[in-house]
Amino acid sequence: MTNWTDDNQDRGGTAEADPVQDGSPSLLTELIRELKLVNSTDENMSRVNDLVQTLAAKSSIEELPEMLLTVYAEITAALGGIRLTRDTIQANAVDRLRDTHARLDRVTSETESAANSILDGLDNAIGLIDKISEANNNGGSPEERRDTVQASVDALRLEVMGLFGHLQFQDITVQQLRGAIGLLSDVEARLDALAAVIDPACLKQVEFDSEDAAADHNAEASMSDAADRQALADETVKRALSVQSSSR
Amino acid sequence: MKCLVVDDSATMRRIVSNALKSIGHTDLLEAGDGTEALEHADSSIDLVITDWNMPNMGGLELVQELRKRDETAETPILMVTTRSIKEDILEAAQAGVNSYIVKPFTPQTLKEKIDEVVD
Repeated sequence: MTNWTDDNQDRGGTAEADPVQDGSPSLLTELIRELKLVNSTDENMSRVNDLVQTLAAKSSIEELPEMLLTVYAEITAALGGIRLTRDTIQANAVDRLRDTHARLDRVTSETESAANSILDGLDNAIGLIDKISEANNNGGSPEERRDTVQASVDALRLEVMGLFGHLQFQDITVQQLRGAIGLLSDVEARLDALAAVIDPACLKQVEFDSEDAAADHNAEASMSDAADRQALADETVKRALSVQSSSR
Repeated sequence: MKCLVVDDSATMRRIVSNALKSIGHTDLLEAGDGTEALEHADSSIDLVITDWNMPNMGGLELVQELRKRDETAETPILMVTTRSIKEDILEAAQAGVNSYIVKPFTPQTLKEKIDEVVD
């Protein structure tokens, strides 16, 4: 019987890829090739030869290693794409969604705070109306009544003007919500773009939040610390105008 | 005194207008953005009160445009805005605003600033 290993080496087989290292499919392909070379006149080998010919005729077996390599490469590429997608979503979308959550929380708390301030103002206003009514009905000299009513009317005017101030929450929370909407639109556009990478059928026109869209609102608008922020504005404007006038 | 109130929020225009009326200023004009404000802006305007963030033409651009025009180059301008970081305030001052009010504001603050900028 032929020494297959020596024969293989004689044909320079060592220069080829090691079928053992390549795995079973490669080993099977190599076995078929070697068996084809065996002298088929040996009667004992006739059955082996038949089997070899049968196996060799099944081209799919010989193509299996190549097919597996192709599939492996495709799966690796797909996994790489998914990993990249996950990392990109982690880096962009998750942080933005967390930021959106924080902004919506702020809208909720500032709306509640403004509503409470308005309710307080209305309570005070009703108290002042009661006071005016009581002064008119019960009391004292005409001068005392007039003074009491006038003082209450002045206080009532301040309360009502204060209500106008509290209603500014509407403008401020609208700007906060526009900021949150802008973030969500941005995340949606990025997710669409990523989906299109994996499946081009998902591709649609994507628009990222543009500078123009952001120009009509201030996402950082806030009802908080208005007095401190006004003090900073006063100081900054005063200095800037002073510099401007001295440079003229 | 004739005041031009510029804000894209109808609620804010109403709030500012009410605050102005409460301190005795009843001759008011309103505009929803900088472009509309420029249509009204002439030498008859004694005070401009403008928001910053608006569509079409924002408050900063409006201020720069008003300062370029002879008839409004010296008109007092109050910026009333939610923007309150130092860089923004400086930018507005350099563009030509006379005073700056941070939202939310009180009618008292509005009165003080008007008294500061109007002779």
